[in-house]
Amino acid sequence: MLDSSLKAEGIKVGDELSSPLFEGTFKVIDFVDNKTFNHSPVALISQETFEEMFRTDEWQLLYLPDTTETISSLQSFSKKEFLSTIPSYQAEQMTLNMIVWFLVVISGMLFAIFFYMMNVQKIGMYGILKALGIRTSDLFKMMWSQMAMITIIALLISTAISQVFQYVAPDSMPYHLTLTTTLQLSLVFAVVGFIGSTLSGFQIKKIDPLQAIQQGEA
Amino acid sequence: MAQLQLEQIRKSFINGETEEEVLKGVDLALEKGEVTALVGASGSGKSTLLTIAAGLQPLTSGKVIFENQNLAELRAEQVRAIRARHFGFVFQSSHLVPFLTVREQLSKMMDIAGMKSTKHEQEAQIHRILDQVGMTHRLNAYPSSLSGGEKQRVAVARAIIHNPKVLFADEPTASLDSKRSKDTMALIQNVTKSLDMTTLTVTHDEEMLVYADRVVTMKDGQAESVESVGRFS
Repeated sequence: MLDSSLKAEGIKVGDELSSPLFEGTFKVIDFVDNKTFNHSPVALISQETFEEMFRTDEWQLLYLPDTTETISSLQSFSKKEFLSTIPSYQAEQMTLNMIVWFLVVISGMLFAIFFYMMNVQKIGMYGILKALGIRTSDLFKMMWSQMAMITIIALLISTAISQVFQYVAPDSMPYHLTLTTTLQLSLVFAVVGFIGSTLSGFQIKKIDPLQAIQQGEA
Repeated sequence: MAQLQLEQIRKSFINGETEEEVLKGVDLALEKGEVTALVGASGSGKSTLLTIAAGLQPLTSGKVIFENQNLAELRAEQVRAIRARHFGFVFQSSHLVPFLTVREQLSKMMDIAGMKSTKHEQEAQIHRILDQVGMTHRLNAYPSSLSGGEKQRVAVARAIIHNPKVLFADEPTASLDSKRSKDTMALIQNVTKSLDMTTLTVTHDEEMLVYADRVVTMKDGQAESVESVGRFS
């Protein structure tokens, strides 16, 4: 059984493959998803074939899901510990995580600045509404409802784009955006947008209606 | 009893280390159904007097009496509530909200004023006022598609949609040509009479004084003279 990314190489079910370590041939019986090691596709073979290929009946690695059982002569690792033993895995993950969070921070800042500027630009208009007698709390409600509407539309569009990208991206690309991550990032952006618009609200709270009246057309 | 009574209004500004007195004890009584025009040279204090009367800035001393309450002694929130419910404003620029249609501008003002009315009643009031200012045909227009004169008509409609008791108009014709200025002032005079309001307006344009019932000439922070319309018409 082969990782499904090998389909792109033209390999099909029923093909026969060979290896310099094995005298016979391997017949492809099926494909499985997401079975890679260090971004290389994995081939799953029987225990007997493995022993014949490597001339040993000792196992190098045994993966037991959902168990803490230990086997004599084998060292045991948790999944996390095992992943950290893979060469350059941690360095790669750290770099990727830094890129992701750097982008999150930058876009979050842009998001907050956008709402801040959007409201600050309308300070004159808010000043006029204050002169007419609108409550400051109603101005805050107006700003928050605008923010909520824009944020929801933006998140729906960005989620749709990211999901479409996930669908069309090549299998070999290590890109997997889960629903949990999507929801977490959406929440981060909603909070950041709220902070941005609330900060501008404090500027609007301070505006003198007289100043707005004297500044010409809102 | 006057609708709005100004008693010994004084206003000083601190300019560096010196104190500048802009209003030096102005008395003025504004009656129902009357348009009072404030005239005078720049810096005479007429706009300051209007904004103090409207509760838009604090005064140094004196009284602004509206419905037996002295606005100078009320908390900011109480003044805001009076401004929203009982005062209407027309400014030099129309200051319409750019992303609201004419109908929405008026509907928003009714909300600000806290008017409790059904959708049907609100719609009827909007149509009645727009009919009065001759703007029913632009009900769904945005400010960007209105001419200067139309914008000012909508501004007048917004100022009176909630049936205020006092209308403040700070140079409402300053950005209009002669014909539109006359139309706007005639409209303000007309709604003052028909709604039995009190209007206080500031103007630089002597031609507009024919639309006032009384003209108060401000000079050096004082009301130099108060004259009836007879002299100007």
